[in-house]
Amino acid sequence: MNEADKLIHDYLEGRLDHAGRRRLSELVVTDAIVRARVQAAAETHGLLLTLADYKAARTGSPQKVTAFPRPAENERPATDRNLRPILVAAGIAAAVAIVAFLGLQFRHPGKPAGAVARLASDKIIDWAAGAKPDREGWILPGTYRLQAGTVRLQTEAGAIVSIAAPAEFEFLSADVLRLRSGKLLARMLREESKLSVLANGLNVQDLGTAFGINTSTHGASLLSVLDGKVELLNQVPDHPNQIVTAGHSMLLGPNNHSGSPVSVAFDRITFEDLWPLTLGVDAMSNLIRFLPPGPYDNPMAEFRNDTKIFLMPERQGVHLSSPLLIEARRSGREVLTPNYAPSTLPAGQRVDSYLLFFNPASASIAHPLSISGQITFNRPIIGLIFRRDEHLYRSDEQVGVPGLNYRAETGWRGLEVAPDELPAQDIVEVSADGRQLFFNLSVSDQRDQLRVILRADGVEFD
Amino acid sequence: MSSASTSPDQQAIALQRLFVAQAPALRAWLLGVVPDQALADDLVQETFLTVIKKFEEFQPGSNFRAWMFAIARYKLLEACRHHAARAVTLEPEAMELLIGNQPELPVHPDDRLNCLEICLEKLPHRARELIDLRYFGGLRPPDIAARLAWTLNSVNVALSRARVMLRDCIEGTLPRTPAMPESDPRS
Repeated sequence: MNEADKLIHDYLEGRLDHAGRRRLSELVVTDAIVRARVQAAAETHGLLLTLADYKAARTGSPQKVTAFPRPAENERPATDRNLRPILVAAGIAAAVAIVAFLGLQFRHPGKPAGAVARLASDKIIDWAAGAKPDREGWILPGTYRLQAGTVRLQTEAGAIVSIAAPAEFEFLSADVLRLRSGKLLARMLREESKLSVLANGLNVQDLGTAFGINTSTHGASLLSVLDGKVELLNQVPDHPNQIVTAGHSMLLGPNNHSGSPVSVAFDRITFEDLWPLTLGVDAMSNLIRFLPPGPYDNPMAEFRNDTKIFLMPERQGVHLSSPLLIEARRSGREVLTPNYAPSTLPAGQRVDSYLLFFNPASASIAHPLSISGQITFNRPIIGLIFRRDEHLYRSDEQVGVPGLNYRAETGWRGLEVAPDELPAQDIVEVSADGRQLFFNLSVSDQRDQLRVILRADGVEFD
Repeated sequence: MSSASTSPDQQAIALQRLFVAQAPALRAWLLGVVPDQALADDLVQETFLTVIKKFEEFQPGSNFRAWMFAIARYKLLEACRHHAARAVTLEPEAMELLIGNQPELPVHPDDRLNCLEICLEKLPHRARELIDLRYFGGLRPPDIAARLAWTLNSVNVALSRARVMLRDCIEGTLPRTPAMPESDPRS
């Protein structure tokens, strides 16, 4: 790849540094051939991004589909007061018109009658002969056999269901699923979401939860409740139903002649591989470990590692009851300085929260440790919170795991904010589409924590 | 903008409708000159706000697309100066040459998008896989390199070539169509 091609590639990928910007600009001005190549490459790149957006709109993926991003109130230019109602109406009309426009222009087929769920990921999967999702990913009632891969579905009743192959399952309706074999992890997106799962003798009714079921046609059926609670409807006459809460597992073994499931040691590891996909994390560097599902007492103390950084899901789908103070919301590299201006996410917005923490066991001032990596979410990052202590502690109460004592571990938590004249020790960067987070963190005698705020999973338009 | 037959509010709403109709084309054009999606979205938004703010300056019967495009061009060049620190754009002089002197917004790239979909089907398997991973899978080149066990440089080279192949194919497939007539904001 020659110099110009490399610069063009870096420009398209948003990786141009200042020297590269100067050099490519110089070439564009002085060399008509390079100029034409930049035009051609950028236009093709733009067409691909546009097509990707339209495809995302078609498949219902929460990838960028908004045409009128709304800047923060304090970033907007002053507008005549009489014009504000018109702007609001125009904004709504614009959103509606553009959605309609996209639909008309690109032959959106719409939801088929009776559809109960839709594919919500583009992982490589292989279906056996028989019922399959249609070309747009819609799923009708029927029996499906997954031969390879992992599938993420969003039901019409508001649940996210991830299923790992080999699996056979049948959708009886949008809120009733029979799992004949395989492993399933379900999460409710909203309070009103509903899902019942029938699995070889288990009848599980969600009560606003996340739970996993692993079953085989002739073997045991395992239920683990990872968050909230479920009601286990007993299949044996005169046996009462059971409420199973987070942190508990129930097993119905093949030799259990009573037909009533028994309590067993909590098993979260069985469902660890499905957890990131269920929560909308598409990809991570190998050095990032997604915390296995389930409640924790003190994860910061429990998970220490010199070469791994941990990603812990916190509150999901939470409506902000008050404005949330954040440090960064825009794409691009953020070199952390003391003058970093905070911003806010408005009350009422529905968000998901994750805590990324680097907690090495053997770092010291004499031997600091660094770690770099990236995470790809299926929806945009809308805020980062990393300022030492102050903002992190404040946001613990708004989006942190309820009941978790974030103050159990003493010492600084946030990222290192270097004086302006010194190079930053910690760098974070959000990709242009908002879905990827890149980071390079260094720790000496403390720990690094970064809270990532995302648009709530399942929310297509904000 | 002045008209004896319509109120200022009606005129503003008419302009907003025109803008809404043109917004996808504007965003598509911006993405073709500024690869940063967030910046392209911001520029659409800023153009919209300026169109609303200056709606009284628009002369009924004149070319709305050209007027809106002039605002967008100005906003884009302003961003080139403003975003110098982030290196997500080129320098203003280079950008001016890149966007050329076209007087109005190009028509919405439906034809080009349809051609692109056709050309994607014609790409060699490996090139198609790369494009799918990069644009429809949302992966960055380092992720693609890790997934395919390639070097980063190989991915970068192959992606560049795939884009050139697509560009050549689109140019060879594209039908020649006249520009769409524009509606009058007063109607």
